[in-house]
Amino acid sequence: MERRWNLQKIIWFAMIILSIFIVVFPIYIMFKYSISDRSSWITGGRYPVPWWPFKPTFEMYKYYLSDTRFWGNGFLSIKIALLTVALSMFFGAPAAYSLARYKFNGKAVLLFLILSIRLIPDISSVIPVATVFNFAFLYNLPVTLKVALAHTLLGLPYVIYIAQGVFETIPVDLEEQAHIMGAGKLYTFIRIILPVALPGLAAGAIYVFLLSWNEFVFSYFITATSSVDVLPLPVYLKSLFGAFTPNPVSIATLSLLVSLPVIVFTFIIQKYMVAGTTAGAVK
Amino acid sequence: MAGLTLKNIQKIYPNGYHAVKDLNIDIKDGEFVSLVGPSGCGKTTTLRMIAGLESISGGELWIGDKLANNVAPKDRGIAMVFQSYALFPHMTVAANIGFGLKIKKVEKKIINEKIEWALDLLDLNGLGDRKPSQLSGGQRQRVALGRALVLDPEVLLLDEPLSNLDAKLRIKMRTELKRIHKQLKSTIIYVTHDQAEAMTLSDRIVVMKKGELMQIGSPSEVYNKPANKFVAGFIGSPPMNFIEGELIKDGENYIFKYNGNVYKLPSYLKDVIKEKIKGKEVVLGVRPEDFEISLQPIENAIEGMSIVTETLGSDDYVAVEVNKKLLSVRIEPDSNFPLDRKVYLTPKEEKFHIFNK
Repeated sequence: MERRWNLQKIIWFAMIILSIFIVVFPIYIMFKYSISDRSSWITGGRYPVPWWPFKPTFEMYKYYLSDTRFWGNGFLSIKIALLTVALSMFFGAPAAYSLARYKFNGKAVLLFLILSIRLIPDISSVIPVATVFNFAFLYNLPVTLKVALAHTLLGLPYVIYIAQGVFETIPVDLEEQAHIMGAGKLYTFIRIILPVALPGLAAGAIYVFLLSWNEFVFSYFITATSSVDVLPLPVYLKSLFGAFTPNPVSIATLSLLVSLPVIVFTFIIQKYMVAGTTAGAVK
Repeated sequence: MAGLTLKNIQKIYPNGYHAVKDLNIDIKDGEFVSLVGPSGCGKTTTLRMIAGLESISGGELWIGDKLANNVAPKDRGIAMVFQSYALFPHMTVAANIGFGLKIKKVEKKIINEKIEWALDLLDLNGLGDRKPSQLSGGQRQRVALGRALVLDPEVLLLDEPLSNLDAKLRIKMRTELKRIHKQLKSTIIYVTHDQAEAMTLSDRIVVMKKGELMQIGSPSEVYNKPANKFVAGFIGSPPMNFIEGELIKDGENYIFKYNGNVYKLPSYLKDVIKEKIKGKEVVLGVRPEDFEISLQPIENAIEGMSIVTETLGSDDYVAVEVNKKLLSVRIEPDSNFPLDRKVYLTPKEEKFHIFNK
């Protein structure tokens, strides 16, 4: 292969470098602050803030990782996210399957209605939703379930849309074959369709997990009307900033810590996301 | 094993499309029957009605001695191999083959024995732990077949099982299928659009067109005594030559008039004409191998010009222009046939076919 640099190549390459820079720079800033010693961020204007701390320190990490309140809130967020994934899949997958397989009138309208909550800004839709959650029978539910239900409301449309697409790619032949051999509808769905659809559904699951983990508006309103000590992480982060001028080191540290489960979860589920898992089914 | 009877079978879709019209077929126990025809002829629909994947709009379907119209697919005693194979991609080969038995709650020991039997029969030894994606096309095809065979079906339904294989493998699997049928003596209904497959495999061939039955018969019957022009043109490769013309009665005999030329028809066609032909417009049919070709003028011959030759290795064909159409005529291979010459064609004894236009 010829390795010559011409103008076109240089421009493309510069674009790539620039994109990486735009994405990575904030992370660098966050990381830099999170390991900064005091003199590296409080300069009093006598010298510029350095590009790398004078004395890098993991003190803030040590502080938060031994803080029970941080862990309590973190676990609550994980529980909510996992519960949201479970609920969205439990309701969304069968719904998506029916939409993918059965022909009926008004399908387009139904799909639109399913998506409708996402067409309204969260800050508007949260008001009626929070009101509904104030009804007695919902109000007394555990806060984990309450927030997870609210997140399911947001995640369900995505799960249904993603899963419907996945189910449509699975050949009907597989079901007919199972049917002829005596498998019932439910058996076929659980033993044939779901395993084949798993990689695609996993993509939906990751999406919903991240959605729940990052979600602030609904979590905030629903926890605000309940008297709880433990909060979802985004709400907890907000509560830290409220009272006093935040310390950039603790914000940076917390932000990076909050990103960790997302990375871990993505890696765990990634092995299911190998392309072409339906290979070998047909042809 | 059991035979199968289709009595006046109809398929009318909700949108009014009449896919299968009044089909009557009687299939004997252990027979290998092919449904053949161009796409849209209703052959797959017929197979799916037998399988129970499509409802039957009219008529009776008998499998063995029971009326099966409203019997659930799993209770019909059938097994089916789909054109796409429909292997379960997340299961191993062994699990795929054992799937049907597992649902029928057969003992695990017997299931394993059956799987071994199938792997052995289909030359898949040692592949039981593989996933379908790790197999070649031919192996997948055999797994699909094995999955059907372990169920000991009364009737085995095959929907274009070889059409996804490359040409070489298709011919190999054709022989393989024939061997398996010989060994198991199962009743097999085989759908294909490939007449060569139908000819080589079947005991009898059912030729269909636009939902209608054209002819049922042994491969030699449909080849040598095609019931109509459609069957004549569909079966055989290269296809039968057709010459359109007019039928004129001349005393006891008939004369065929085409484009100003006349040809006296042989007397053995008289009965066929009386029986089948309506009207004057007719089509003469002769297979490429049934022509005698001569460069010397012959009395009462079809005249034409030799245009090009084609070779298939074992056979050579010469294209002869008659009536502004090219007819294909088989000649001795390597005979270096002279081109752009006037030639005289006479059909071999009893090899002339005549059809309504």
